[in-house]
Formats: sequence, C-alpha cells, structure tokens
Amino acid sequence: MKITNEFEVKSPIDVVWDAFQDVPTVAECLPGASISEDKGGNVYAGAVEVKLGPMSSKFEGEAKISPDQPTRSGHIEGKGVDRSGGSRGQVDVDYRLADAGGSTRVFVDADIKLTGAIAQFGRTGLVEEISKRLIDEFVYCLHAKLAAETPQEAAEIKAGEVKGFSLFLAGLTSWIGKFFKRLFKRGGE
Amino acid sequence: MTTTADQSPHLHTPPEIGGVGHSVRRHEDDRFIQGAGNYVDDVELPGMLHMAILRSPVAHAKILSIDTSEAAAVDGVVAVVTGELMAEHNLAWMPTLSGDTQAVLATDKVRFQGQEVAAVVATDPYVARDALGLIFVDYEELPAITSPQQSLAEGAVLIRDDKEDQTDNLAYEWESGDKAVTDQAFAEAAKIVTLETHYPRSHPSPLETCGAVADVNPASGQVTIYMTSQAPHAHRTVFALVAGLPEQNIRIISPDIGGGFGNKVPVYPGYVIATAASLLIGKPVKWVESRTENLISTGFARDYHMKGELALNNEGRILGLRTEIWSDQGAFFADAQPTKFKAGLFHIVTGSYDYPAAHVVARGAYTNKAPGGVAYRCSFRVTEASYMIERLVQNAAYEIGMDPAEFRALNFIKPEQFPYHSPTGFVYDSGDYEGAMRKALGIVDYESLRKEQVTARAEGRLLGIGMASFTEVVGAGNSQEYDILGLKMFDSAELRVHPTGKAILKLGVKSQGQGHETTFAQIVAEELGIPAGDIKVLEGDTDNTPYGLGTYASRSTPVAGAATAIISRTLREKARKIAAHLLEASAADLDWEPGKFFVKGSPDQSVTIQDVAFAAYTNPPPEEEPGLEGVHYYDPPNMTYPFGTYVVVVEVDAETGEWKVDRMIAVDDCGVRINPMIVDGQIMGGLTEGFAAATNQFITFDDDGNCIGSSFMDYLVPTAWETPRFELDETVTPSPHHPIGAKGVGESATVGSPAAYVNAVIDALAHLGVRNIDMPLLPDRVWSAIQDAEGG
Repeated sequence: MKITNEFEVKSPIDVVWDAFQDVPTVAECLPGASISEDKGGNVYAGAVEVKLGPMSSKFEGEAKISPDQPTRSGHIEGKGVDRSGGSRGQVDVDYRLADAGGSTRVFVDADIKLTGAIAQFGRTGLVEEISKRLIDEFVYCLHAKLAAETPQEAAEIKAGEVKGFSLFLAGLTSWIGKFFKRLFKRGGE
Repeated sequence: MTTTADQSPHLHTPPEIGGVGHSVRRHEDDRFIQGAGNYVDDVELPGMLHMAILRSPVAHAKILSIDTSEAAAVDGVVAVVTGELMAEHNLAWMPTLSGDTQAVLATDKVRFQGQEVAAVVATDPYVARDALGLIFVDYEELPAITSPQQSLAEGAVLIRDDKEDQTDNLAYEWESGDKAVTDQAFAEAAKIVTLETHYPRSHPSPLETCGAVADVNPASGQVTIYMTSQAPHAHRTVFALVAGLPEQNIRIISPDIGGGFGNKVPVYPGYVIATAASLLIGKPVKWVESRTENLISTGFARDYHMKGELALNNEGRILGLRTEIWSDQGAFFADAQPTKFKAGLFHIVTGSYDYPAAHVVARGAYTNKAPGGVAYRCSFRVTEASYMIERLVQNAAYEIGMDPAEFRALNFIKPEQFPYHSPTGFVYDSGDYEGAMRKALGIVDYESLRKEQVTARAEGRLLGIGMASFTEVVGAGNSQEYDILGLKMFDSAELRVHPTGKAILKLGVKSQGQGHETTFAQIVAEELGIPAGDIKVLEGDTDNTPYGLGTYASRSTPVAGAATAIISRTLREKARKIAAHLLEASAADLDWEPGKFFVKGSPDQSVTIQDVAFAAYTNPPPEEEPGLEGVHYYDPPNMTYPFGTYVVVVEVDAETGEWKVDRMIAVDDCGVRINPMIVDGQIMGGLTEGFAAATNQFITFDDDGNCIGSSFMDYLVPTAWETPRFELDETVTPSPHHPIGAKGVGESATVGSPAAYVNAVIDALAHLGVRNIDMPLLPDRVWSAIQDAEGG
C-alpha cells in the first residue's frame, strides 16, 4: 500500500529538519508509537500500537533512519511483528523537506506492507483512512511542538489520544463522508 | 421418459400418514426453534481441554524456527503442539480426499495465509488463544503466488517442493470429450462465439464454523470424535488410514450440523491435531474455529478462470463447444472429487442443449491461497459449468440476432431424445427443458416484457431480462464411475420396525439442515404406511448407522432416498407374509393400501402394518425369521438430472451502475417432490446464495497473499433486506431409474441462478455491446462496462 502525503509546517526548514532528527520527539507525535531503546547507528527499537475497532495490534520491532543533511531528505525503514494478533508490518518511508518562504513543505512517500489479520480489512479502505488520520495527527502534533514557546511546553505536547474507538470512528466517518460527497457531486451534475 | 409436467402431485397417502407429496412440518425444528439443538460446540466432556491454532500471517514463507517456550510456561497451558511433534508420530502430513497430501501442521514452509503452524492445548479456551501470542515463529518470506496465471508462468516459485515429482505448480491436467470431432465442428462453423470470465472465489460460510471434540480413552484405545462432518463414515476410514488406528475403535459422531454447503466435506488439520492431542494427553480436547478462521482457511469454492467457445451454423444451431479452464486450487488439492474426474463434473458444461461435439480441458494450479474447490452447494463444479454454458448461449443469441429464449428452444434436447447421451459421456435420465422454460416465460409474460424493454430503452432506462435453463448432474454415483479414494459412492439405509409399529431409520448420509429427519421418514411412510411422525431418523453416528459416503452433491435423496424406498419395500414384502399368516390367507391373495393389507375383494378382512409389526415379534410365521428389519446398500444405476428455468428482470441505473431485481421466477423440475415445503425452502435458499454471488460476494487476495474477506464485514451475506422476492413454480418429470422418481433439489438454485442474474444485467446492456462483466456485478464494474461500451 503506497501512501503519498504532502503537508506544510509553519517553521523554517532548518528548525523542522532539526526536529526531525530528534527521534524521540518525532515518536511522541506518532499516535501509539514508543521508543524502547536507542541501539546506536540510527537504529531504534520500539513499538507502534494501533487499535482498529475491536482489534488491537502492537507491532514491536526496529526502525532504521538514514537522514541526508545536504538534500534535506531521508529514508526510514521499519518492521514490526504483532505476535498476539498475528500481524506483521513493514514500512519504507522517503521524506523530503523544501523551503516554502519561511515555512517548510514536507513530502512523504510511504510504502506500507501489512500481512496477517490487520491486512484482511479489504473493501472498506479503512486501513488507508486510518493511515491518513495518523499522518494528520502527526502533523498537528508537530506543529504544536514547533510552535511551543519553551522547550518544557514542547515536551508536554504529545500525539492525541487517537487510540481505540475514536480512531476507528474517525476512519469510518471520513470514509462515509467521502461516500456522501460522491453522492452529492453526482446529484449536482 | 416424460413427462407429467403441470400435474399437481398425486398423493398415495392421507395427511395422517404423511407420505410423499405432503408438506409435513419439519420434525427437527421442534428442537432447533427452542434452542435445544446439539452442535459440536455444545459437547462438554469431563476433564475436557481446549485447543487453539496458531495460523500463518504470511502467504508463503520458509519456517526458520518456532519458539514455544513462553507459551508452554503459561499457567493453564497443557501442551504446545508443533509440526515437529506431529512428525514424530508421522502425522505432520495427511492425505486429502482428492489423493493429494496436505500439511497438518507446517514443518518446512507455510503455503497460505491462515495455514496451521502450531496449536496450544489448555484448560480454558481463552488461555489457549492468548498463549498463541507467545509463540514466536521466524519466517523467511517467499514470493506469494495468487493466481493460476502467475502460478503456471515460466520460472514461478515452486509451491509444493514437498512433493518429490513435482517440478512446477500444476496440480492436474484433465480433459473430456473428443478434440478432433470438436475441432472439425469449429472448422465448419459459420460463427464462433467466445466468452472469457472468472467465477470468483467464494466461501460456503455456514452459520456454524468447523470444530471437533476428540476423546481418546487411553485405557481402551477407543477414539470418539464429535465433529462437523458431512461425511462421517468416509472420515472414519480416512482417520483409520491417516492415524493407523484400528477402525473398530474409531467412532465419529456428527451431531446437529449448522449448515455445511460443502464446507464440511474435507478433513481439516484441526480435526487431526485435536485427535492427536487427545491421544498424547489422554484427555478430551475441543477445538472450534472462529468465524475468521473458517473464512480464511477452510474449503473455498469456485475460483475458475474460464474460456468457452460455441460453434454455430447459419440457422443458429449449436455445432460444438470448446472450454478451457484454469482452476485456482490453493496450496493443497484438498476438496473431495470423484477419483476419475479431476475437474469434478464440469463436463456437464454442454448443458441442456443438443450437439454432437464438445471438448473440455481443465488445469488445476497450486497457489498460495487456502485449499479451495469444494463443491459449494453443488455437485462437483456443476455450478461453474452451468454458469459457463448459460452465459455463452445468451451471448450467442445476441451475436446471431435471435431472441435468447428462442435460441434456447431451437437447441434444447427434446423430451423424446431421453435417455440422452451427451458428447462428454453423461446419460441424461429425463427432461422437458422447453416445458419448464415456457412455463417460466408465461409467468413473467415474456413477450410483453420484451416490448416494454424497447420502450424503456427509448426513454433511456436500462431494463434487462435474463434467464438460465440449467441442467444439473447429481446423486453420485454408480460404482463403475464414481469413488472417492477408492470408496464407491453408494449409500445405505437400515430400517427397523418396532413391535408397536413405530420405526427407526438409520442412514449413512448426514443432514446439515436439509430436513432429513422429516423427508426420509416420509419415504418410509409412503412405502410402509407408518405415519411419518412415528419414524425416528438417525444419522451421523458411525457406530450406529450403516456405511455411506455422506451428504453433498445433492446425493442424499437420489442415493440414500432410493436405499430407504427399497428397504421399505423389502420389509413390506416380509410384512405381507406375516399378514398372510395373521389373515390365514395366501400372500398372493393380499392387496396393499398404505397402512394395511387386506384380502382381495374383502376389505373388511385386513390387518394394519402396526398389527403386522407386533406379530413380527410376538407371533411370527414359523417359516419366517422373527423381527422386521433390514438394511439396503444402493448403488445407483445412473446419476439424476434436475433442471429448470430461472428468469430474472432487472433495472440498471446507468448513472451509478447499481441494479435491482424487479422479478425473479424459478421453475424447477426435480422430479417427484417428497416434501414440497422443504423443496421450496431449499430453492429459496439457493436463489439467495446465487443472488449473493451475482451481486457482491467474493474473496480476493492482495499481491502479498493477504486474504481480503476474513469477516462478514468484507464477505457479505445477504439478509432478507437485500434479497428479492422469489416466485416459484414447478414441472414434474420423474427420474425413470429412481425408485420414487425423485432427482434431488438441494443445489439446483445455487447452480442455476447466478447466470440468470448476470444474464439479466448483460441483457440490459446488450444493445451497447456489453457481453461480459465478471461476478460479482458490483456497481463500479457495471458502471465501467457501460462507460467502456459507450466510449468504444
């Protein structure tokens, strides 16, 4: 599953770049993510917890981050196994920062490969919706952190409680919303 | 051998006896509607343990290691079973009902998502399930193959590297008919009509999932297995062969079964693991699947990629048929097939039509998907065959500019041609195809509808009239041609009349909801005059019923029903001798009417069947063996060939691609109807399943082999809300070789209806040039077909 996303952060490119190098901070902005160990060499052990309706998955594994300072871009490779739920996940992310006149545009290309129970929700497109919601939440949190006036304030900002039923509902609402948009668009033609 | 079409059933028995033709209320429903059925999951035995199965999350991977230590340490866990442990007992692999092998627990590789990798046995079902999360399996992933095209392509990864002689992914190649004659017919054709389509993978999805309670007594060696089995006797023999256990010590009990539809024919690894676990631990072990486990790992159906061609002459007569099939079998060829016929009875694809030439080639491919190909409510691939020919003839009619009904009428096998020898080797027993079609067309007022269609098109509305005039081949089957693993496909009935005139009938088949306890009692009532309500029907206990091959392929009525009628007649002849003894008359001088014998010409000198039964135990004739019981094993002389015509009227919304059924008319001819109410119920159920297939039901896989359709959120089962209203009618053409003229009806509607629904949608779009949309006809597919046709 390929997800392409683009968003703008209202901070200068160097500030955003530095924030991206602070892996624990980045993790704080990803709902359900946690870092358990810095293994050195830009390799981190940790977990990502996702709840999808009645299904809860905790992917435990490692991520390797390869930043490229001159081009303000980077590559993240992660993989995790959810043993109790019988799912596996693998993610390859390419990101790139671009100066946008005092703001920064961030381009993300993610290739997510899920296998097992979590990949079996097919037709409804819920997994795609939820991935997009996760990115929205990430951007929102990152904004807040970068806009914080003191480092202490920034440290207190974490990704919202997007776990559990709310995430499922958000995905569902967004999906239903699209359906109605399509419907009205058709009606209006 | 025809035909008594249009006649209401002639009843030989009064309602209080309730023989053939009476809509007797289902005896079994007393317990079902009170929630007092007894299913496998209801079985509780002292000291019983619970088993859960760890399944592969990936479709294709080498197993590098399995670490069970954490799971084994959990409080309440009694044992963790792996393939390695099973291999020590020579049980890591088992034979399948189609002569292949299947992994019980994976040792080398996993070959589909959902494959059994390990099992936990614990004192509590939740502990067992939770402990699965503590088993760590290290997989090295391999490319997943998810279609026959990929599987049979040059250089594809070998899926079955466990099999010594297997060098590619071909499971089998099979053909039927005469290629040379058929090629000649095509060379002489004025027109050739081609259809390529995919019959998607579907799942029988019975309400009750599969499961077993295995109880091995370590002292006596007695093995009792309660299991969801449509074929308990065949399964007992397989268990004896797989586990090397003495067959007299194995008792399979199939209690009430909550729907089977072919899903409960194969032997699943779970049954074997539970039995092995009980054997090793010495306590009863229960295993019951979850819904998702049932949907992702047990017997799929269909998944046929088909190409069909019809050769036509200038007058619209069919000269010949050619079909080529690529079957997606999944990782193991595990469905039951008659040994001789690798593609099941797909060669019935010539359908209801008369032409001399046909040739069928079928190739089965191994893929990284769950083992599939079970006969989902059909007689071994008859559904795919019926779908192919009925779609083809409809398209052929468009191509030569004939009305689809008149094209069928021109090409139908005529009533006087029966018994009809088909070009692929079947001998059709009886039929009046045009009679059934004309009746259906009359009900729907076909001529007016065609006029209305013209008007509707002028107004921009898309009205479609589709039909299917299907022929099935059911009731496998005669022992010369039909066997499974060498076991001939006969079936049996054992009847014992008690001293008070009540009776018990024991059968080798097994009801999963079809109403056997009622209909088989009615056959005895018809033949012996004992009220149907006085007859208990026992099935599904191998220690207490005669041997039989089970219930699937619409074979219960054609085979076990025939055995029941014959043993009833045999007992009636014995009863006649006892009656003669009681009436002090000669047996030849007695007349029979249902329920009593009387002296010819003296109706007042009579004895009832109940009097006779009592005498059989209290006052038998000196020259006769006491008692009134017997068993009959019935080897059918031929298959039976139910048929019918279904007509569907739809309206398609050109803007959205959505379509709705305005009318659905089903005229079925299943020969003599034993219980018309149950027959109607069977037909409505099948029409609903056909509707599901045509509208929205399929299981797909992504490129990594993830099974999309693992819950009822993605695999949609229609409710009463979506299901259209059905209008049912009948014609009656008895089977000439069946003792009561019945043909079997459990599957006709699933077999015949998908093509009727699809043909209706195609008919609505035919003027645009649309000739195919693959099932299910989701609105986006229909919409795209309209766009492509209009754009092109």
